[in-house]
Amino acid sequence: MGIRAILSSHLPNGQFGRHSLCLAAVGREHKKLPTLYFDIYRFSKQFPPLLLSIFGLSASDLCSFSFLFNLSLKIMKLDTSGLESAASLFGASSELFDGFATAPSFELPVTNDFDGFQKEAIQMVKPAKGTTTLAFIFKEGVMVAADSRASMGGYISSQSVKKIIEINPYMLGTMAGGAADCQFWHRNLGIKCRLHELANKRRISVTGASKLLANILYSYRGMGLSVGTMIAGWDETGPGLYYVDSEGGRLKGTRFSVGSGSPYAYGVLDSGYRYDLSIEEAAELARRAIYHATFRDGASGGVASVYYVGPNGWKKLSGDDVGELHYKYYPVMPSTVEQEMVEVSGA
Amino acid sequence: MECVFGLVGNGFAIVAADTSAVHSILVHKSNEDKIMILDSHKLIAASGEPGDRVQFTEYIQKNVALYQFRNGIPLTAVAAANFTRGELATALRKNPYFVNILLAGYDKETGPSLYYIDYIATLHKVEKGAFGYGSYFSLSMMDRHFHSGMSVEEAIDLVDKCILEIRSRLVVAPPNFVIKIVDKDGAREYAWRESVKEAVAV
Repeated sequence: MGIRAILSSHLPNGQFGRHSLCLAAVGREHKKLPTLYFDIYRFSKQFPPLLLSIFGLSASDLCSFSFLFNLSLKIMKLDTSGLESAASLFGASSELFDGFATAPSFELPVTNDFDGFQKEAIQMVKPAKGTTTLAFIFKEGVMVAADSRASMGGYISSQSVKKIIEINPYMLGTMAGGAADCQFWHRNLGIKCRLHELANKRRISVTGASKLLANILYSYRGMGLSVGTMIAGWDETGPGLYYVDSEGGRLKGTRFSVGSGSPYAYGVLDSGYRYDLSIEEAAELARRAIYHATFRDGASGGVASVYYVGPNGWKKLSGDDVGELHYKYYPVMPSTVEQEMVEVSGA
Repeated sequence: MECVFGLVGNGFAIVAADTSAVHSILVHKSNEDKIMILDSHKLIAASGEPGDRVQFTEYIQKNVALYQFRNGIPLTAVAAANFTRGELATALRKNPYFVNILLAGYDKETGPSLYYIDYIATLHKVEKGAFGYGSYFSLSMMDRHFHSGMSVEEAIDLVDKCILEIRSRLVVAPPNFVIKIVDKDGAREYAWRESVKEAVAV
């Protein structure tokens, strides 16, 4: 059945997704304690602060801890907060009890060979992460660069994709993997960051933003999301760079490159990197690394865009076509002819 | 690829883990700390899928802290190990966590202890244990050179021997390792063994 809940108190510091204490108060179901921790932990990572308290607790307990609702669901919980408005949570407490009883459904297409159709559909959306994106921290801030090619197997579907997503004026995200997944979840992250700002009267840190995204992606693990992104921003502690992917991994670092062209980019980036680069030098390093990756990787190309994130937010520095960059770095030299075909007279 | 190993000595327990974060052929990071300080006198060295590793160990850490808040006393190492195993077991048939764990702890009454917890919720109290490809080399090294009640210097020497063996014999050997120790003074980082310096973030 679950725990009865009444509206009473909210999370102490008002931050959702980050609080560390889970308190399970049990009415009659003491034997379910172990799974309660599990459910509540998972639940706590996903839902915005609900005004709840658990029936049966003493007043001192109520004051000390943050409280969560125990869903008696034992299945994996999806974070659908991006798909619902917060208002619906307050009125629909009885529905929360049963969890997500009615799953979203869609009509199946009419076809003779449904298995074949499914196979083809999966092949079409199969993630290949064909791209090159990179980001690195240096003395002046964070430099973020990406190519702009979108490929579907061997077909280049676009040469002008925006792979650097502006989450908010001081945070950028890069796109690698499924374009729709990256765009949607970055937009969703931007919403969550803005809600955090409004609730706490201060900007969210890059650590917090990346943890929000990582928790969401972790809850959808195994369901086919394909996201390999870097969250770059400037917060109170200075520049921040995190790599977050759809397998649930989250890494803090100073240099990252993601995508099919990333090994090529890493080589150029690692050898040219110094912490005390100037902004122009860093931009040139980023541009060069993207160019070399697009040269060798067929799934990367188009335009190499370079963004800079500094104390005042991000700024787009350049967007150069990689074909033109090639001739800039390697201008055409007249080459000596080794052998020349000469007309032999009288043959 | 991820090498984790540990042993129990005289009044302390020591664990070492590699520090590479790898994605197919790419090394994203070579200073990723995989040994989490669970509470003042417990360490969890975890290896496995990156998302699971961080999420599961943080979950255990927060629940252990919760127990301490609720009850005023910290969990013992054996209790924390059994709780961890229980969580892995409960999730096993529905939503398994692919994490292998070595839990090192120190209790005032019972002294140091090391628990080997598999991803399929096996639990053993051991004096020495290892996970990953590195275990093929470190287990026999530890079997040969380990004896009960080693001093810190002897234990570190053995750990270094194992790291050297892994570095020289494992084809994709991780370059850097972190060593953490837990004894009556608490759980803390002991040393790093680096052969590739990673640029440190500001």
